[in-house]
Amino acid sequence: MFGFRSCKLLRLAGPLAIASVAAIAFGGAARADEQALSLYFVGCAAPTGFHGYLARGAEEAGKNLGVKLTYIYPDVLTIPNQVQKIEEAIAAKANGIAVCAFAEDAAYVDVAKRAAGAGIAFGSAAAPPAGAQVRDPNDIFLFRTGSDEKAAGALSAKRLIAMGVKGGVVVVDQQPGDSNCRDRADSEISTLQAAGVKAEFLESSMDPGQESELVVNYLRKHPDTAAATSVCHISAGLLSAKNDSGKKDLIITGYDLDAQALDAIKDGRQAFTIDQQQFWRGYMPVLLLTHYLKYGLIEANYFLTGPTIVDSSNIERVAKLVTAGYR
Amino acid sequence: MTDAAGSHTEQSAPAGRNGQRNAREPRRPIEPIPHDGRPVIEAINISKAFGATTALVDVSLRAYAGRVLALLGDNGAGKSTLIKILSGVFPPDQGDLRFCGKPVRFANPAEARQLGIATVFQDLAVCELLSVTRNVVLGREPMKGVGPFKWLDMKRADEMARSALLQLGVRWERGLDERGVNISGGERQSLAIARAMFFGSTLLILDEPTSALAVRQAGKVLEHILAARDQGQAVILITHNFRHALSVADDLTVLAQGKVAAHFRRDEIEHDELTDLVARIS
Amino acid sequence: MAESKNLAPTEISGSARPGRRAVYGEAARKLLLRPEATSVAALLILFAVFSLLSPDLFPTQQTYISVMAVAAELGIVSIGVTLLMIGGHFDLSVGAVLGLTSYVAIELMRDAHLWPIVAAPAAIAVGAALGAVNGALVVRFRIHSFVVTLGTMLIWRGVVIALTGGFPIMVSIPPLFRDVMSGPLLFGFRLSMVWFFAVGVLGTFVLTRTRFGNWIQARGQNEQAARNLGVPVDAVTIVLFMITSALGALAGVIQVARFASVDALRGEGMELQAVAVTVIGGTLLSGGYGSAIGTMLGAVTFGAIQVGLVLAGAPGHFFRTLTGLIVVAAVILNTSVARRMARSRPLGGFRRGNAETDAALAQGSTIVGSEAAKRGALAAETGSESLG
Repeated sequence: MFGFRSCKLLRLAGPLAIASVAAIAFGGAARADEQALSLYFVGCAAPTGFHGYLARGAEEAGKNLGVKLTYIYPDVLTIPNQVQKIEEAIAAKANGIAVCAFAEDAAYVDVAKRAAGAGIAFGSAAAPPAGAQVRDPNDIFLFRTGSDEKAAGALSAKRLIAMGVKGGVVVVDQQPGDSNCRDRADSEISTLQAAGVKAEFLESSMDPGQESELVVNYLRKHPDTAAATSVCHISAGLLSAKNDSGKKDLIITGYDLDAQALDAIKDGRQAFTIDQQQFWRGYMPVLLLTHYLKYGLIEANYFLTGPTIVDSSNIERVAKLVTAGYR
Repeated sequence: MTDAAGSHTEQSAPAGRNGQRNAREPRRPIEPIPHDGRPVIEAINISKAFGATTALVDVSLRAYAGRVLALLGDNGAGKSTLIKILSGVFPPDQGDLRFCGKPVRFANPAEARQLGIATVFQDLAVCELLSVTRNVVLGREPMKGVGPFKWLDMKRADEMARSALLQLGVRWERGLDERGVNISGGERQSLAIARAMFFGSTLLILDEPTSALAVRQAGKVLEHILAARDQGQAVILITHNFRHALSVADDLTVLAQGKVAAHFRRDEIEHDELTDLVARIS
Repeated sequence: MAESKNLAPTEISGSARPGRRAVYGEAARKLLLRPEATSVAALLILFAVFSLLSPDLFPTQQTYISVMAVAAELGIVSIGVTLLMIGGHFDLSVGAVLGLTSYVAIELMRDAHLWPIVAAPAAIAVGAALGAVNGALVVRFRIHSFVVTLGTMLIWRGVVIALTGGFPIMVSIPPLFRDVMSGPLLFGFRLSMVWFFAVGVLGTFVLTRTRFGNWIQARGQNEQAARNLGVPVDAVTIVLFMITSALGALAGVIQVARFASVDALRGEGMELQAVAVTVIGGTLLSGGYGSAIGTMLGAVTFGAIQVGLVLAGAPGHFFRTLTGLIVVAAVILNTSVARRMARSRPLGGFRRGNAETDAALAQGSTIVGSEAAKRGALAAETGSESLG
């Protein structure tokens, strides 16, 4: 009796052994697959300045999550050039690709299909269309992460209203051809107007001297102006105009963080600036790709990295992080 | 024949008066060479080829002070290549140049200019939007002031322009501040000749000076060419127009296919003979 | 043997003295023929129109201060572009030079801790060096300056963007430097206006009263002829590019002093504004003819347009469009008036005859440089030439 059962066990031992070896091998292979996850971040521009944040965010995520991340970008940002970069990533057998999408979805439909066909996860590092909260199951992108420019404009307006701005607001656009800035400006103006605050659009130039004189004269023409927002460039021109016109209580607001804005917020010349938190635009896509590839997780809501307000209440902390390259 | 020996006192003034040496001004006053039987310039067996194309083969000519040499020939005969060699634009492949009997090699046109060889091209005479005065003194503007602080002496420039035109007998109907665009083609040619002579020349090379001109203007330019000759200049005149050539030339050379086809003194040939000859050899 | 020239004396022309009216009329005609005249006209028309549109705000000192502030910074760059354009070249890189030299100035002050009085001339010298590169490329490779400077514009701008990382850089500016370069110290007018006038006067002097100026115009009109006459045409080109870029750097230094910062796109677009201003001022795009004073007037015109549109309450979305329309109108006005004037004839009874030539001829003096001819000519000159 004893002998018969042990014979059976012994007979199982072989297949068992093979099975365990296989399991170990497969498991090992699976872990090897994990270690070999190769992700590509197709950027909009060289990794300096604004896009440097995206690149740094993506690289830090890659380091933290143990995936190999490569940041590539077209020399000149056009749809064909960027699509070509995506195809290069597909050809390099990436496991996942995140794109700094700057154009309409229609531009990416084809290449998204090709990526899907090759079994590559494909996501967008740009904001979802305005108003879209929940992810569309048929979305060509696995996820979208970005800052909503319209929401940014609305946030500026809401903060100004909360500050109790009395008088008019002038929204200065230094690059009238830029659609992001246009979204910010339009939405700020419409939100203000809806709340009964007078708001006007002013086309300006990138030259700080010309901008300063333009705004000074606008203030002469509209002496009831209480606030001025710079949507598409540093606020140097507005700050200079505030100085030259002698309107010490003019509220200055802007977008994005830079040394000039930090200085001005610290000493009170500028009230606040809207931060896109673009570091997340690099970090989150890598995180989302990795977790999708490893655990099959897909976002339910589109992820908005921004906008958020930086003002005198958090300027000290943010300033340090700007120096470190995170904000 | 007018004595030209003591005639260029005006020309030496620019270098002396300002005390400054304009690098492009001839180093000593240039006076027309007295006619002593030697040619002012002599080309001996000049040959030149550009790649596979031969431009000149064994061409010899001589130009004498106080005589006009007309250089005739069809397009492609080698006339412009020859005058470019004479004015120093490029050297010949073979053959020599002699200036007053001395062998010379020009590295660039400036060196030829130093010896007084002045070339006037048809459409390169005048800057249209500059005044007559500025055109005349261009490249050799008179300055006043000290050290590095010098500026144009417009009064002297006007004088120089006036003298230059006077010496050629050019009758100037309008002011010297008239712009180049407002003066006729013939006046431009005359201005260029006057300018070349005023700043010192021994040999005037004129490339098609009358080709684009109406009859009356052409006549004036020819008059001025004779005036230059009378002042002792050696003149080489390139032209298509046989009548013009015959009306001013003392000697005529005909080029065809890069070779000297014929050479005459003026009194050896008449118009019809010349046209027949050129028709035959071209 | 061909005949010698006939020396028969001719009738002296222009012998009757022109009347007073004709003299003044002729003076006016000559004045209107100058390239600057039409840009004055454009400016006056704009002044009138904007004063009508905002009578309380436009014709005021504050407006003039603003206009001159804009005109000064743009004008300094434009005068360099004008001289270069008269010489027959374009410089599309001058805006990028402005940006790059601003960056150099700031870095020298910030990291090398140099005083502004050292950093500013150093930045201008860097500008001149960048200009020399432009000039050398144009001369050496015989490529059109438009193409060369398009390339260098991209290069210099790329360098600025890379070095600044796309973000502005700030530095603390000593108040004295800020005031000297751009302080509102002259009855409220900025001192940049003084620099502007100085550059304009210097540019005009060089153009009209120096031999270099003659060479610039000759090179622009007939390069080959100038070369044949011994004008150092290539050296002229290189020096012109150096001047243009150095002036761009000067404008950059003024902006650094005023705004204590440089950003990646500093100066962007200024090269085309400079061309517009130059053309408003009467300089020909084809080269050879122009005026620094005209450019100054053009810069003031440009400033007046910018300020005038704001004060007139023009809709904020249409500034660029309206500015462009006004610039085109100004250029059309300028060109058509200039053409009409150029076709005009001297007023009747006023023959600017060169009577002395004929007088000298009458004395039979075809001998060059003879004292008699000179005396005759000069004596006749004092007689009949009434307007210089």
